[in-house]
Amino acid sequence: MRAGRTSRNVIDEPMTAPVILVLEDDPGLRVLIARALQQNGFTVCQAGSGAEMWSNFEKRPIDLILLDIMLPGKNGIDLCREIRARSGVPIIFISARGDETDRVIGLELGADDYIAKPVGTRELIARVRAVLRRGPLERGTHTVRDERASFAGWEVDLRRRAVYSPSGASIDLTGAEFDLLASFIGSPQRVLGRERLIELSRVRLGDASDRSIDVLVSRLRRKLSSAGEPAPIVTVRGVGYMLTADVTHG
Amino acid sequence: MKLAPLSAIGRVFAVVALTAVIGLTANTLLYEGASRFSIREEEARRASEHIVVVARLLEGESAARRARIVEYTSTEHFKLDWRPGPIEPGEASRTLHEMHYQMVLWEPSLRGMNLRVHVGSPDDATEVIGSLQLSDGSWLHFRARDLIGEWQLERGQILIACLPMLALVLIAMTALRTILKPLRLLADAVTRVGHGDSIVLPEQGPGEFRRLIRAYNDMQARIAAMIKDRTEALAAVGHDLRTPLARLRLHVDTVTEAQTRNAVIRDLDEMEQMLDSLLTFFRGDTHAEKPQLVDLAVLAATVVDDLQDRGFDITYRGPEHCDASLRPVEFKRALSNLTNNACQYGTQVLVTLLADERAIRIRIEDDGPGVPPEDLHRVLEPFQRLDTARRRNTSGVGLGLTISSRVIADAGGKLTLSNRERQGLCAEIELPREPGPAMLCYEPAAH
Repeated sequence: MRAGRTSRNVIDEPMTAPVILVLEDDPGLRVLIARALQQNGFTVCQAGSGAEMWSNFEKRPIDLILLDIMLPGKNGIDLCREIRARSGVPIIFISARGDETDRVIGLELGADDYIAKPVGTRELIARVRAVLRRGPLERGTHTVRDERASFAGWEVDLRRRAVYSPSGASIDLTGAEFDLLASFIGSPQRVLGRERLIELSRVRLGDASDRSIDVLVSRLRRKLSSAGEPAPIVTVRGVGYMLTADVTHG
Repeated sequence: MKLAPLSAIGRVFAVVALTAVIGLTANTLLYEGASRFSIREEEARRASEHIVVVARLLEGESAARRARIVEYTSTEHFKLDWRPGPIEPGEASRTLHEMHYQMVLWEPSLRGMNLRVHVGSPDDATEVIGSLQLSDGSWLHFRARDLIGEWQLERGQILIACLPMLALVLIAMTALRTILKPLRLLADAVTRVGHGDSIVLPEQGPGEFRRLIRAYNDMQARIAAMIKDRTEALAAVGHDLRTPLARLRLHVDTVTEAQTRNAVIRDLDEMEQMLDSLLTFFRGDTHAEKPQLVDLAVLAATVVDDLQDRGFDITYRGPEHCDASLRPVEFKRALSNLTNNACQYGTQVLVTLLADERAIRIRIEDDGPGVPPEDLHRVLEPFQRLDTARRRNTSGVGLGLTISSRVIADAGGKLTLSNRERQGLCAEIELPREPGPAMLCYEPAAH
């Protein structure tokens, strides 16, 4: 059995569409999620139960699983545990309960992200892309490990989408800001072109433009300043932005 | 004048007091009437016998002998005298008809002797004077003291009679207070019903009270169970509603006409907000989150940024960083409720964060219509919407401020609403800071 491709990069290899498995017991919602994903260039296979998921899982390689927590029979949390026992395939939880406990449990069990129902197409696609982008970079083994990165005293938990300041305080970022930060962390000390950033933010912001990227970067800078020190993000005039700090993973 | 209804103890006291007073009055009147009557009768008889005997002695005696006889027959309390004319009573002296009647009844021989009886003087009601005519036309005078019982003495008797009564009333009151105590406790408990804390009362007191208390305890349990059932049902519906909402959320992106799509998205946002606040409200005090160190300034800035992205004119002013220990998800919801409210009612919103050693203050000010002063305290209560006063498009179920207030109180802080001087509402969150070294607040860095 082969579960989860070990390497894939959405942006660099657009010709082969990533395969997303959607496990959702509500048929209407399942079809809608599938359609939204297909329209954004993903290949989708659908499952209405755990059994269906396993049969799909064995038929073809899966790049990501969207997993509903509330399922009849076996719940998503148990399924997540079973999947993790067999594979390191990225998992995104979808739950109708906007509950903090679900979120924590899901992430503890090795889910890569958690989305609360109801979710819009943009948010869904942005989250799927973000998880897929991280996928090949930090994964490879079948064991769960924290995906933490740190730079200049700042800690970033990519899986939990959490940021901690040098003083240890949790830093609340908007979805788009976090995605931007994740992009910087993915390519430290490399200039990220404006076009690339606009492309990344388009999913979330909808009408991403030069200006909205500048606003986004300035907000991120303000939130990542510390003790009077400016944030380690510099403007490369006419090109884009760059994270100047060293990033260490793990 | 309308009097407040008397308490049970008051009523019982009134009954006991009335009984006591009536009993006492009846007793006194009876006793007093009887004693005055008997005294009068006895004295009158003695006096009439005395004067009849002296009158007989005087008949046929010489004038000198008569003077000696009246002197001999006078006593300390009964003075006699012999005069040619009848006694002249003072102007204000009453004639004692009753005594006259008694005396004549006792000594019928007095009937033909022109007996006159008067009160001795208006000042001393106990002195009686009188006269009777002898057969030769001269008069025998008499002056008797203490013929009528003294009133003073009887007042003292009444007082003595009252004392045991008073003691009885006091004892009755004390006993009643004890008996009625469970009822008072029950009244207190019933007053508190619905204010969060339900108390199971111990069954005590008289049988009827025990039954009442048991009925109250049972009723309280039934109400609690009913509320729990309803809440759970409502929460379940809320959860279930999220699936169709999720479908709609995905459907809406297939709508090609931008105006319709945006309208539907706005409605969806509103429905989600309502569901969220309902579920949060019903979840109540069960904290899934643990307090942790949070950069409150960034949190406030992010809340503001989100609203800016949605097209609202909202600004954050304050330090770039300010750490505080609280439950981030809950607190963000509390703050969002306040900023959403401000954006809904005002066109321009300012969020200010001020921090000193003792407290962090977050002020959310809008330029909307504000809240009428008399309703300021009411808006924090659940399910309150001031549609009449704030006529702009109202949305939500009226739980936003309630939830905010509760979350802030849980964090040890305080939410205060006030109207701004010129226009609009100011909501201020005040969070006390624990003194310590971990108080980090940075001013904007110079770029």
